[in-house]
Amino acid sequence: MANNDDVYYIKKTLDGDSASFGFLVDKYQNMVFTLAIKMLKHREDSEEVSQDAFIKAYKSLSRFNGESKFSTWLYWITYNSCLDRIKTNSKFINDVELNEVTSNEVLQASTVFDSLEHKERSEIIQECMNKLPEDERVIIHLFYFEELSLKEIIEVVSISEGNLKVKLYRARKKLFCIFKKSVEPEIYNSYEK
Amino acid sequence: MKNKEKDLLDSFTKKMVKDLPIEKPSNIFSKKVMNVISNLETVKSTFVYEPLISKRTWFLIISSLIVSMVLLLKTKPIKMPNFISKIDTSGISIPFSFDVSLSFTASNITLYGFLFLAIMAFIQFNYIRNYNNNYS
Repeated sequence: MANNDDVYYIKKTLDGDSASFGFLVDKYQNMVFTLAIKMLKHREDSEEVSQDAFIKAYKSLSRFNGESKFSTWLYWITYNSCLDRIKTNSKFINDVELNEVTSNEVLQASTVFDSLEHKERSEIIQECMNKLPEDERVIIHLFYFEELSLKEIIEVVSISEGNLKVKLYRARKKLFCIFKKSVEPEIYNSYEK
Repeated sequence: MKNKEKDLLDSFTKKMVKDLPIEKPSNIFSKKVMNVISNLETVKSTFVYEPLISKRTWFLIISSLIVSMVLLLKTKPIKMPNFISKIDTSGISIPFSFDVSLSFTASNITLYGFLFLAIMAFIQFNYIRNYNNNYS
C-alpha cells in the first residue's frame, strides 16, 4: 500500500499540479540515486539514470495503481533503467570467484572489520560491493541497506522467491570472499598477534 | 554451509552494508528533474492533440458502411441458419423501409467478406488503441 503523503502528492500531480511531483523527487532522490550508483558505480551515469527514472515515473504516474508502495514502484523503474544502461555499456560487467566459507573465517573477518577506522571501513566495503555482479549488488543493497522485504524485492527485480533466496545467499558469500581477500594482510597480522 | 555459518554471514553482511553512507546526487538534481518536467508540460500544452481521423470522417465512413451493408443485404438475403429462421418475428414491425431497387446483385461471399472486414477492423482499432495507451 502506498504511503498517504505519497498518494496525496501523486493525486495532485495527476490533477495537473506538476510542481507537486517535486515533493516526491525531494523525498526519494537519495534512495533512487543510491540504488543507481550501486548498480552503475559511476556518479555521472547514475545521476543521469536517476533523472530518467523520475521522468519515466512522472510520465507513467497514471499507471501507478497504489497496490505496492510508491518507493517500490520507483525502485522497479530505476532498476530497469539501470539494466538498460548496463546492457548498452559493457564496462559495468563484473564476476567474482566463489569459495567455501567457514564460521571461523567469518569471525576473524568480523574482528578485522571492527578494528578498521570508520572511513577506511566504508571505503573498503564500497570497493567490495563494487566488485559484486550488479544483480547481486542490488539485492544486497535492497535487503540489508534499504531493509526491503523479500516480497518487495521480488516486485523490483521480477524474479521468483526461490531464485531470489539463492541469489541472496550467493551474494552474501561472494561479498564475504571479496572482503576477506581485500583485508588479507590485516588477517595475517591478527594471527601474529 | 551449516546454519551457524549462514547466520554469522548474515549478521556480518548486515553489519558491513549498514556501515555504508547514503549516496546523494548533486544539489541541483531536484531542480534539473523539475525543469525537464516543466518543459514537458509546456510542450504538452502547446501541442493540441488532433486525431488522425476526424469525427466528421468517422461519421462518413460509418454511414457509407451501413448504407452499403443495407444495400447489399437487399440485393441477396443471406441464408440464415435454421434456428434463426424458426424465430417468430411477426410481432416485430420496422417503422421504416428500404425498398430500393438495385441493378446489381452481390454474392454471399461478398457479404461475408464485408462482415469479416468489419469485425477485423473493430478488433484492430481496439487493439491498436490499447497498445498506444499502454506504450505511448
